Amino acid sequence: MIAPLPFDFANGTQPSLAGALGVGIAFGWCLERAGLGSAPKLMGQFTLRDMTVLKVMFSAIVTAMLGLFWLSWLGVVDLARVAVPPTFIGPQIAGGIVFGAGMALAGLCPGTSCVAAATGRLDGLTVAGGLFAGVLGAGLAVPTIARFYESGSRGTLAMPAALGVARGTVTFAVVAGALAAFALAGRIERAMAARAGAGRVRQ
Amino acid sequence: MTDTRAFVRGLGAAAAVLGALAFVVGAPVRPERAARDTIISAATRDALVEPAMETVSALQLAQWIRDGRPGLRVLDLRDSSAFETRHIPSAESFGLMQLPSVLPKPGETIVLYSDDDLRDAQGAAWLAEVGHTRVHVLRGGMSAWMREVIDPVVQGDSAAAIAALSRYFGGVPRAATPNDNAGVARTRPAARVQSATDEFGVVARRGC
Amino acid sequence: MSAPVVIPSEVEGSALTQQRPYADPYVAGVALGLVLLASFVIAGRGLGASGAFATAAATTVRSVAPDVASNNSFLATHLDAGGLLRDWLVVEILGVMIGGWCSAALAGRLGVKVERGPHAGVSPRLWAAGAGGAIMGAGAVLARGCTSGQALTGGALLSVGAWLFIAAAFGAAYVVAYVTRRSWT
Repeated sequence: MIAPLPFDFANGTQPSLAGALGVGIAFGWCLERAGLGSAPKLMGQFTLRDMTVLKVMFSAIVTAMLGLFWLSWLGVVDLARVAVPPTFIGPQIAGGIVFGAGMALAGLCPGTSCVAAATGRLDGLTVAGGLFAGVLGAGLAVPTIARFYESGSRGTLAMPAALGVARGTVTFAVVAGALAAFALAGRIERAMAARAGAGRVRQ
Repeated sequence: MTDTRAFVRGLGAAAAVLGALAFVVGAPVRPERAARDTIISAATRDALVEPAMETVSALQLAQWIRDGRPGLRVLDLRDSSAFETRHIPSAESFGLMQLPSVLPKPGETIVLYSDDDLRDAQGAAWLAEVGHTRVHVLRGGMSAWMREVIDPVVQGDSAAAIAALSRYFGGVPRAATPNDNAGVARTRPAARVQSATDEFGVVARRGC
Repeated sequence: MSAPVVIPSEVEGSALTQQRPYADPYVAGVALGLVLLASFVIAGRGLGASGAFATAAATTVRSVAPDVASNNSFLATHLDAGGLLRDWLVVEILGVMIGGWCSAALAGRLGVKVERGPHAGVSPRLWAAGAGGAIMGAGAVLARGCTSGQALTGGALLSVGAWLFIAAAFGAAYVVAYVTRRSWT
């Protein structure tokens, strides 16, 4: 096994931070190129006019997921050494709902707010400021909701283990689901465009 | 514009093919590697006949992780806040009750650890019941990891090798001084909440 | 990515002031997926964003009230002995800003403005941005991540909690977006 390379074990060392910077720059570049640094474009997803968010996110997930599967199969990556975020069922569902609501209000997510701020968007800067305050306040409040916060802990639980199926099966299902979602997204975009076109003609 | 569309269609087709192949293959492990790990030597077979609670030292585990031992799974049986604060690199957090649902895989080596010998023993017994044959318990648990890998006092012939292994995991090896007694465990007062960066200045947390 | 816009010779201004169109979302998404994959391969971990904010918040609390910081289980796990710039996520987020700036600069999309819907005012937009950001922060603390750390990274790793987060976040976003649709359409 070659990868992951041992840079992350001693977090804070030069090689690991150089990697972080490089990955971050590429990440920011891709987000901006896709137009996700612009709140109106991002929110087009949630008003069903512009499916960019769905296309970008699920293309990325499918690409990385397939990459991990096949690099592991080739023996290049050791999946056991890749850090998986732990699962906390209740908090992540509740946190997801709260996060999604906040995102629709703000028009940007944490990563895209940084891209927006960097390109001069004052709304992006404001979202980032709000994020800081929100994380600070919620962080201070964690001890008071400690029981809920730690509830539903399942450790690093991946879907193959949870469903009792092979990883390849879940991988295939995610790919199939994403391709179906892309087909649906295309239909929705065409339908919304047709509606907008019809409206203009009527005027 | 049309070549972008053609390119995108190509990407979609590639994803579909790779996804379908993944379904066929099942596990992201090549057959030869899986097979190689199930060919056992006579000595290993003897050891496997009685799947007793095998122990492994922290240094041995460290070497296994560093060398990327095939099929290695390290399971942390402590509660999630302890795991979040610090865990052995590559370890997965598991509750004791979840262990029986772990499916045995050919060629695996499972290492359990926590800060409770009883929990480790129970976990090893359950895994053996479910069919796992190569289960080890980390002798001394998390504190042994800290003591032998992250904060080792090194001396003697293997000092350099242990020091290199320690540094690989972000540890701070120190040479023995006249005040250290080799083999005497040093206890550290437990902090009420352990910072992710303890006195060794090494960050163990992974955030999102 | 996409072909560059052809600039007629009679148009004033340099090439940099002409806006390039956005990249194809599928191409950008695959590129992003390759970046995520590279992160797994090089660093053994995926991307993130809210974690950097958590580290910044924890560091701030530590500088004014160190006892509060070390006794709070959330803040303590986001502290870094080496300071902010030794934290993987903080450095990564700085990279995100650099990368975003570079891409915008080369595409002619830099500009100080308040982006908002066609019928929205500046002040309501900024209030919503700040409030939305704060609410997102709370959600990210609860969920241990955001769209970058949980949805993208956890999603690619097939983490159960991450996929639950994706479903919950998208669902809530659609509901709130419908209620506030005037501000974007």
